[in-house]
Amino acid sequence: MRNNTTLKGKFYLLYKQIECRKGFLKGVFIAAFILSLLFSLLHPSIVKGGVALKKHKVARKETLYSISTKYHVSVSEILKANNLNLSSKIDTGLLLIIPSTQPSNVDRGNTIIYHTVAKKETLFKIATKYGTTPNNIIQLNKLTGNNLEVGVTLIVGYKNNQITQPLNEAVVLPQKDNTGDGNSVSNTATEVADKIVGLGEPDKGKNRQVEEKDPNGGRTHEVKTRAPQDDPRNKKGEYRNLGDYFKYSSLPLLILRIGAILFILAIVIIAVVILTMRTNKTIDDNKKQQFDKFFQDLVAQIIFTDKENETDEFEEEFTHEQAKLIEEFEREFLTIPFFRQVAIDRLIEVYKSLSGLAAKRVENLYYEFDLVNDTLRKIKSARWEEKVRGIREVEQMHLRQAYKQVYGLINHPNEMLRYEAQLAVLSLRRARHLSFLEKLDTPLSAWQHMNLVAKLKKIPNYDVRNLNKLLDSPNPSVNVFAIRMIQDFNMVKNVPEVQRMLDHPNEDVKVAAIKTLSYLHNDKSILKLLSAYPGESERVQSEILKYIGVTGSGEHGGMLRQLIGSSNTNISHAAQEALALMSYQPLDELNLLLDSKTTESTKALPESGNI
Amino acid sequence: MDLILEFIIQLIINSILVYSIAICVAYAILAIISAISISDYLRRNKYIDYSSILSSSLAPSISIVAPAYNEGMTIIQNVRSLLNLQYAIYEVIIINDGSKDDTLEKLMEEYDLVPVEILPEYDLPTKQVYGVYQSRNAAFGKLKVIDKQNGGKADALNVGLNYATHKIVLCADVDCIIDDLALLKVVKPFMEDRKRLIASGAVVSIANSCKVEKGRLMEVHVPENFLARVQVLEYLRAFLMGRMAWSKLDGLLLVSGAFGLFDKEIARNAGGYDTETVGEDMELVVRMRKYMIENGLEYSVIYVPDPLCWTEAPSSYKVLGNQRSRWTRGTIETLLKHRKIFFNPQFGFLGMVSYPFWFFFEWLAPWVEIFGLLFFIVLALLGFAYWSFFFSLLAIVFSYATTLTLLSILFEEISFNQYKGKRDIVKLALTALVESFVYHPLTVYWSIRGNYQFFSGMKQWGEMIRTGFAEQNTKSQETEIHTVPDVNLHPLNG
Repeated sequence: MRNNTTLKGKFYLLYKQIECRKGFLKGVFIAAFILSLLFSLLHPSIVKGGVALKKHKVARKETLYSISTKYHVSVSEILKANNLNLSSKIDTGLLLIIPSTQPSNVDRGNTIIYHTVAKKETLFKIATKYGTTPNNIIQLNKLTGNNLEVGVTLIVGYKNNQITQPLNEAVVLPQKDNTGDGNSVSNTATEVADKIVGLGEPDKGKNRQVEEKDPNGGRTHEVKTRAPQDDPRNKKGEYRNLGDYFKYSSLPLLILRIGAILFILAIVIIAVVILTMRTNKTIDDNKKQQFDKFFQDLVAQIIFTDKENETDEFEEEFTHEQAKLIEEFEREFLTIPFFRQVAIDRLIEVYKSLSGLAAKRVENLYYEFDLVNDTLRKIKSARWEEKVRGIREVEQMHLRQAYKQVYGLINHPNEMLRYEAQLAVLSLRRARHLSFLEKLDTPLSAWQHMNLVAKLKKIPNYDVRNLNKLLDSPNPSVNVFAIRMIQDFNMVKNVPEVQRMLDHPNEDVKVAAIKTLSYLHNDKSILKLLSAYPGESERVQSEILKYIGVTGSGEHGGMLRQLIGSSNTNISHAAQEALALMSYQPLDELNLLLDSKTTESTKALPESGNI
Repeated sequence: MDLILEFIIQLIINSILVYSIAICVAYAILAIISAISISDYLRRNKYIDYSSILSSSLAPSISIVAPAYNEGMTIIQNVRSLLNLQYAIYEVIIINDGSKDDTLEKLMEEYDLVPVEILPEYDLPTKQVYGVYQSRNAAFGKLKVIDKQNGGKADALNVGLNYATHKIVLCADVDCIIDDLALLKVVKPFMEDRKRLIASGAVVSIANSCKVEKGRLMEVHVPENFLARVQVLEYLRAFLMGRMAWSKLDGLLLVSGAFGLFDKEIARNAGGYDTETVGEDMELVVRMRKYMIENGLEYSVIYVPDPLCWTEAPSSYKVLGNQRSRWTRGTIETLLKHRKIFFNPQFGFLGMVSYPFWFFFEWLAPWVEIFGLLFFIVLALLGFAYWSFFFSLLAIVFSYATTLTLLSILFEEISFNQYKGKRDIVKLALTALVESFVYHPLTVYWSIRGNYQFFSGMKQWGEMIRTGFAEQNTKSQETEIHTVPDVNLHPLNG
């Protein structure tokens, strides 16, 4: 029967897991959406638009021809791209759009072959090298004579088809020195754009840099272009592969794109993490459900069944059935760390709500399953949260054998850890529950104070005999704690000790003492306070005034009234409050006083110290 | 001439670039600090047992101050849920801010209120108080109702500060749903040994589409309404990424008006709420900080990342737009009023980091964004746009913003996991993907409009005060949460 449920549980688990995957499907859709975004980023059309367009600023002594050879574009193409004709003036400083490197008269399937003229090379040499004729080269490059300049790049032919068709235009425009400055503004703006484009170019090694002096402005400008022989793109302006794309596209652009891709990947990863966490949570919940089913059976069997040898509390043995059940439980769950922790949590939960024999049985189970070692291991862990967890378990299961270890942690520099240790020590002690505070040299927060009190009050027959000792502690926060405890437990006979604390140098201690004294009334307190008043700080003085208000001894009303006029607003407020607190004082009188205060304020009343 | 123009254009482009990188880096740093801060909080509070504080006489007492204006429809329900909070010692002070409807009558009838003679403890200047009421029924002993002349939210809160008798004052919107355990959780920082805690707040969440019964939240869902859903993202980002980080750095400038705790004494000494600004919650925190620093007192302001307060977010464009414009106005007013702090080393972190951050990245961000966009359009029209660069930049900016948003969803998932349904989380994530395109431009528009309202209102300030009360007040009844606005990023020009 039980086996069956476990099996069923397993199927259920599997089913749940598959169901959880549905969430993943949605995740996949989102991922697909994002990936498509990612690929659209990489798409060549964006790449082409960005890098293919070049601009050239005409320098002095440059001709259309020299420009055309520089970029390996025909003159007619340049003219077409710039809406010019052959008679147009090409002024220095004019910005020309250079069409992409692909000449229109070349079939799409062809590639231009270039040759850069080396020293002592002749037309003939070059022609034979590329299997063509000198005339052909002259025609292709629109050369005027046989003289070659070293370093000039020539078109020597096309791949695939041998050239049959000579180019028509063989025009060289004479260079003209002109100082047309008409559209300088737009020129400059364009220049900026140019620079931005220039920004986009990678390292200098791959660029040809042309620096020329402009005689008119006398300033240097740069035009950076990609040298054609380095251009890794095919005729369509696309990069051959992704590697080239990353290698040759401009650096800032590259950074941006890689950044965007990284962020998109981050989005995908975060989405997956979120969904996985969700799924894991569901799986854990299911596992816990499965565990709980078995666990409830177990608890019912072992804890809530009456047994014959009930009287024999400490020697209690498990019956045969129970032993079998325990064994099965251990085999099924306790080999997995996850379930061990769940077992600890559940046992503690059960333990908390039980007492007497049943609680003892739960404790036995805790030992039987060897969960104690888990707990002790946690206390030794290097991570403080683990330690805290271990201490909690020690405290809740009353594992007294860990007392020494926990005690060693009450002054630990980690606040959470030492507070937890203090609480555990408090509840593990058998008598004089608060004595560990004598050894405390770290401060106690109000929060911890409250927790200690709450814990103490839960202990049956708690023992606070040593409170007076705590008053002598060099740790002011322990003094404050002790004083408040005296108030909390109405320990009237300790009042003299509290009065003694008014001489303590620490302000917090004094304030706590005054508060406690106002609660535990004693005739001598007021005299002590009044004698102390002049030398005290503002905060303590306010507290004393409050004391007078609360205890409401009428003979001091005059003093309070006098103090309302104090130039110190805090003291004045405290006096007003105190006066209002005195039950005998009619409200009208207070109002009267408040009214008169405004008129009297010019008369400086004696400072608080003079009473 | 050319040189100058070229220089100017370069300068603009570069400064926008630097600004954008700075804002991105700032938000990344905030995200990292938030992550540390939240994980720290979770580890510290994993095993906290709040039951001991419930019965303890040592727990600090709290006064809840909730102004109500024309809340007749829901006031009974709201007050009941405030009275049912789990805490040992607290009082609820409802301030009827001159409601024109039957808010007061309903309260009087339901809770059997009678006028009592109670004098204020303090004397912050406020509009006239007509009377204080308490219940004859001892079961409602915690409740005090104060009737006063209409004066706006800040004025009502000041009345609350005057009458509050407990050490800590919780200023809350009367119509928001406060978690049963809220006071227990939020009071803990006040009890921990630190510097004096002068203000504290908790995460405010959006209750649209959630199942609410008798003023209690039963089921949490992601809002069906798109606008409300986007605001969920905004709030997550603002609270889990922004405020947590600022809290850790101790540079928090804002505790939301919907749920903010203050040290009564300091709030009073600093002068209470400023009735002349629409951003009174931020203004108070800044002023309290200023007060502490000027008086050489040690203090801190912290945030609790627990979602303890739930509020209905505006789901119409008009209301939301008004709210956002008002927040912008409040921010500007506060920043200008305390401009002394700006880069003033006397104010330490507040002056050197917090304030400048708000100034540059909260106030100016929409301006830079709009300016950048216009600048780019001009360049594009002149034909100088470098589209490839532009699109890449756009992609990185949007993907970065979305990453941050998803990260805040992840933080939520790890920390408090409010949205239990898988559908809910997927919906949120999908909303995050479109937010930058659809919603973000609107926020920029609203905040620019807020700027416009502020600067045009300056001229006729006096008049605005006289006629503006009724309107101002209805507005102030809406949810008052400032969020760190969206990661204000904008398309750069290349």
